[in-house]
Amino acid sequence: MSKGKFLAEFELYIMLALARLEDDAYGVSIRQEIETKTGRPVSIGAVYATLARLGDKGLVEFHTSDPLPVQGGRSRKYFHLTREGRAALSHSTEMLSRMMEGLPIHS
Amino acid sequence: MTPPRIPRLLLGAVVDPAERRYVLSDLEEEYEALSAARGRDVANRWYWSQALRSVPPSLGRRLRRRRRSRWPDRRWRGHALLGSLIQDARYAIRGFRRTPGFTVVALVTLMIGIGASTAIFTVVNAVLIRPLPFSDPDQLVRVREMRLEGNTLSPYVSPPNFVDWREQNTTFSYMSVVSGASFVLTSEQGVERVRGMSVSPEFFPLIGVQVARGRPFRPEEGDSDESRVVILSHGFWQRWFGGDPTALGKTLTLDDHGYRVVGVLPPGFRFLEPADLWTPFAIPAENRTDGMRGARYLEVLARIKPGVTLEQAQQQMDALARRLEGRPNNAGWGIALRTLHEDMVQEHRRALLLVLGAVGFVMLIVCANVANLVLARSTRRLKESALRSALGASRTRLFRQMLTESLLLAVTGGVLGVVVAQWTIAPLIRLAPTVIPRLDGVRLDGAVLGFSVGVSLLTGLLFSLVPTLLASRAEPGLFLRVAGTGVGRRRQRLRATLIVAEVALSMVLLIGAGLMTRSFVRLRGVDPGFAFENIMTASLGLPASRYESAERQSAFYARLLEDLAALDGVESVGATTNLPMSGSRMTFGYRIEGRPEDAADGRLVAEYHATSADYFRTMHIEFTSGRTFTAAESGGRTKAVVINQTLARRRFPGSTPVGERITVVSQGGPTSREIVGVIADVKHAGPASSPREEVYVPLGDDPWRFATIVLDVRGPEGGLREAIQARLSAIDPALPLSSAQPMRQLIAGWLAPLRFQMLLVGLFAVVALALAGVGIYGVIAYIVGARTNEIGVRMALGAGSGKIFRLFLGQGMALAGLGAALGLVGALALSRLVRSLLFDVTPYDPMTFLSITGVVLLVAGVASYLPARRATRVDAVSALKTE
Repeated sequence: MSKGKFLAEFELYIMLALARLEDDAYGVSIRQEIETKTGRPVSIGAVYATLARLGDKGLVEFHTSDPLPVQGGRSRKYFHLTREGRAALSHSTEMLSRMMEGLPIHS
Repeated sequence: MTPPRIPRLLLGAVVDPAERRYVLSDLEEEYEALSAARGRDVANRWYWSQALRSVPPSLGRRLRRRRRSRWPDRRWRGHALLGSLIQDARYAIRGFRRTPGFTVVALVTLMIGIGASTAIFTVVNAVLIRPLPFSDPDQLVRVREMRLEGNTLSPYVSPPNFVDWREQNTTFSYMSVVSGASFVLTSEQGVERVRGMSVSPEFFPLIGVQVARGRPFRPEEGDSDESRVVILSHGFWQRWFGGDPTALGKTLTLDDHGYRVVGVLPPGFRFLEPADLWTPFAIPAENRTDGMRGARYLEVLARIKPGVTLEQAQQQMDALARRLEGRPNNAGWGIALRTLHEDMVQEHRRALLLVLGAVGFVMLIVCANVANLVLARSTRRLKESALRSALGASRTRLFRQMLTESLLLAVTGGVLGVVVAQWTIAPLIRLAPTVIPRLDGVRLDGAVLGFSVGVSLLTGLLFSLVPTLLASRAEPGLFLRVAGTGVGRRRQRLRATLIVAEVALSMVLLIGAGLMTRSFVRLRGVDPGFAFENIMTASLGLPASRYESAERQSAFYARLLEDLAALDGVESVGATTNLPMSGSRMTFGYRIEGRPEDAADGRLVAEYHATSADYFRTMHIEFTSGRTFTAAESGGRTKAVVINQTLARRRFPGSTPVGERITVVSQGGPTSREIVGVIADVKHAGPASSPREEVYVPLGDDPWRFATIVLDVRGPEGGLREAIQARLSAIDPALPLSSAQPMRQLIAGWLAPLRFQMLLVGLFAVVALALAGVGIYGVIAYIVGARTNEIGVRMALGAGSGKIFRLFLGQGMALAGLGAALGLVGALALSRLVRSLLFDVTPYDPMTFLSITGVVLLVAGVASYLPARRATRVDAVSALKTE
């Protein structure tokens, strides 16, 4: 079994962020989502590197937006979960909660 | 509002090219929001940290991707090599993580070295290396008159000579007068003083800049003072007219005259000093007469014709000077050309290069120290190398592995160093004396980054060279054998050599810093011949329109001095045309009456001052004989002059000059004056200057339209400036003060360059000594560790702990002593380089040499004491057990 089937911790964060942000998931919003929820500083480089890795595994895909219609408007790269991505995420979270069942660390 | 450049470039370099655009644009979005919410500094720091922390994941991602794509796709032969390089790098990183102590010490050392060199190089680059921001800057020259006897340069040119040169030369495409100017701008909002430049109409084509709006000056506007046109800087146009295009043709009231705005310069243009307004410099016909040839006061700039070299230009101008030598006041004068850049930076070159040299020394010490660390580490890793070698790794493969490790270390240290440099530059510039030109252009640019990359790679090569060669020279069998005992004698000798070199280098630096410190103390202790504590100075200029006549000027000064003397806390008030140490000077010829041999034209020249009678008392300048001016003399009814001691000693040796008469030339022509007093010499041109011949005439007798007021103040200086301005406004509401500063500040300005060099060289010397101390500690500690068995044996055989202690302390001190001796020799050899930067201290100053040797030996003592102490605590039994 390749380790690709399991999601690393940061990969899991990213995918959870994608799931929550839905159509508004791009570099800035993903980074901020993880940073505010976990309280840990997150670098943009780590976000993109992980997204690319998830892309390699076929769990994430993206589309790019046209530059915003304002002066100096930027193009953005929006990410979303693929079908496999959703499956992997629910698989992982389910595993996680099963593993945690009955443990006293639940708050 | 754009993010800082360096981290942006860094980030752009490391992220996947396909994603670069999005990563940068995302970060910029957050940067802008943060910048708006919490300020630029916070945003900049955030951006830096984002960029730096993004390096490992981004690089890691790219490396992994390449590795994956390597095997199926072997389009390029280079890929196999690349693959093993990446393998080496990953292996090296794992190794560094396993030995965090080594990695941190090595990186911090490199960061200090590369950071310091990059910061200093940034300054050197901006001041000395980067060309001036004008088209073909090498063709721009400063033209001066030069006294052929003794090759003394006059900074200036007389108006008729300038006109003759401009008309007769075949060398220059343009020549222009450049003169700093200051105007009183009157408007509905009141009066303010604005900075300007007065230049010949040829100036703008000369410098190669075109006006952005309107027109440049016309040639005829340089012929008379009546043209009254002005060109605005872009900044002033924005500030004053809000960038309104209809400003052209409007009128500004400058020095009580209406000036028509005819043009606006492009944004960002400046020449040497910032200036708001540009007016044509006119040389009216009355200033072009032969009588004015001795009046050298114009600063002249020229552009050499394309294709003509500086040497050719100089020869052509030499010929022209010989043709004009027959004109009055021209005998013995030549023409000197120097490129504008050279002219600006010349006096700072030596000092900057000296500091760069000091940084170079620190860099060498850094190399030696890191080499030492790498050597120690590689000794510990001999077993590993031997194993790899025995398993079939080729010698080049091992060599490359070590080189990769060193370069990786150096480059990481380099990146950290650039970050350090970026943070150091701003404080460095605040510390730098303002007289160094072009400091506003200091910034990290491509040249600087190239320098840092070069230094990092070179450093990596240097410190990896020795250990790497040592490692690959040995046979695998030897590795395995030596690895067991852990000590290679050759290695130990090599490390000792590195330490000796480090001590020697830091010794040289410390001696340099010591000499400068002593110079600084001496220079600060110089008695300038006047008081500078409690003296406030304020300069002003009278507009010609309202103060045309000498009577009006005299009356103004008399009233102002009287009013200021009545201020609270003001002990006494004086005025002078040329304040000491302010950089302002006038020279005129004089002649001693009754000595016909002195009558020869222009033979005797003295610095000329017009002062009020109370000037001497206010400045605490002492009279060695005679007295100051009486009221009659100040009023010009009888003609008097005060001379300084140097003039008295040179021209009236053995006799008292008081009562003698001299004829002094001034703006009104020659005047016969009686010497009424002799004052002690004043260090007019800075604390290190030697006194020149000086004459002082009463300001009321020979008033000028500019003067500096000096006030002897008892009590707080706060509010004084406002009080002076209030008194001034009571007399003439349209007259602003141009500058008011305590005399103390002027003196500090003279000390600033030496202070700057002293601080920097001193800082580097201390860093060098600390590194050398760490080096000694490391080596002795290592030797102690390696010889634990031996210590055990010695102790078992009855050696006391005192003997063991002395053995190791002695080893450390022997290294330090040898290094110190070599350092002394080096310092003696190099001391002539600093001679010109020293003041009243010989470069072989025994005090400095002795005390520095003491300090170095002390530090070496402490550094070897600690490990030697540990050696005495070795437990003989357990030491022998490890055998």
